[in-house]
Amino acid sequence: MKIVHYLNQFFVGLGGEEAAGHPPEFREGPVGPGIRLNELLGEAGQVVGTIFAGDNYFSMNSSTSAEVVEGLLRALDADLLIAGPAFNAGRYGMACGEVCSVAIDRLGLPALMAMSENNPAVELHRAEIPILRTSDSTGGMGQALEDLAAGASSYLGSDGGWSAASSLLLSRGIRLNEVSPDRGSKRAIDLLLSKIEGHPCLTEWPLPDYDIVQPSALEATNTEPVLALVTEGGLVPSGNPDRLNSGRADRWFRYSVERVASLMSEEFEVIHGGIDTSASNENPNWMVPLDMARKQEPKGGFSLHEYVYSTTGNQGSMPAMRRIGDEIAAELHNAGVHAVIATST
Amino acid sequence: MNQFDKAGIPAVLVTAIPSLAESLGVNRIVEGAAVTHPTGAPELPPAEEATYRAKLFELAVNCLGISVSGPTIFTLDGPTQ
Repeated sequence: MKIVHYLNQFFVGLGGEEAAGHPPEFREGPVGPGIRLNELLGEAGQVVGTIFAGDNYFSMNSSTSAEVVEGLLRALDADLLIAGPAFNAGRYGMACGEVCSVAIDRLGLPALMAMSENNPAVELHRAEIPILRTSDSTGGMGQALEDLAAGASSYLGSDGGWSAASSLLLSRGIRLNEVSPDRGSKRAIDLLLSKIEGHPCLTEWPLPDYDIVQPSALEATNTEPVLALVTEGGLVPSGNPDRLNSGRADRWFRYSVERVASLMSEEFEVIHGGIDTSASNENPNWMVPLDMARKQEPKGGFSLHEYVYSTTGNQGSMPAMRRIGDEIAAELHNAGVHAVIATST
Repeated sequence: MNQFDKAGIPAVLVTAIPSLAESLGVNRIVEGAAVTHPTGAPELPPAEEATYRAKLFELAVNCLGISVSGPTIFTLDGPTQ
């Protein structure tokens, strides 16, 4: 079985930041950590070549880089692409994600990448690309290569699935149904007994990882603080011109309310797919309180930001909602907004 | 919501399900009117409705300036059940 390996400039020995502008290139056979990976793979496969690029070059010329990588991969006709391990290196992780996406989407070539769960590329790619879990730092290189070899071997030895390697992989955020021989009540009691006996208690339904955040305080300003209105209620201009999702939203929009005193039902509507929207459609201010904000603005000790921000929380995934929150927060921060009043269904 | 606090922007969430917001770690929570219309009370006569909403919004603005140490729920003593 033929395996292609992707590494960044550092791991092929070109150098650190000073070499980060290096364009994508190819070398025959394994390089750097690929040499050990190749040994560990043994009979299961052979690293036939290594593609590498500088992290800065890749991130700043991603479409050009993707084309070069695509061309190289086509010529190699491999069975599997392995990218990384990138540990917690953000740009390297993003490049690994791009390279794997090119392989999977454009060539139908299976791909596996390795990085820490904290790598920002994980949230972006976890649903599409199998990601092997590593430590945050290169100290975990030995383990990462062993796991990569084990994961790749089990994949290549299977009939095209990653399930045998699932204990090494990060959750893809996809829930697969399976039929259990025992009904729920029996499984629940078995789990309880296992816990009482001090055995591992592996839940079938892991709780989402909610985060605890320190409350911010209103910044002292010389002028009145600027306040922005935000909603997850799916407020959009009538007709939903931007096609905001009514559920499982992956996007958000801002709508100008400069010199708008009130959200009129002829101009705005609520497209949230998880609630009865009739009341909010009758009066969109019942979802986003613009009219009250305007009434209180003159004496309320604040001034209103020129946009309202809207997404739909219905069936939203935690990672997508977190990303949307981060993006809106970054924009508000740059726009000099001091505080937010948000509404949710 | 928590991403605003992380970015240093105090934020208040008006929601009809404060307990859910609390379990998610939202720091400033104002109890809103209903799931389908958090900042409106269509069942009230128009004049009372306007008063209710004015108070609700005022509460939201005020609690932005109140220092909290963790998830805190603010409620109006006022009308809606």
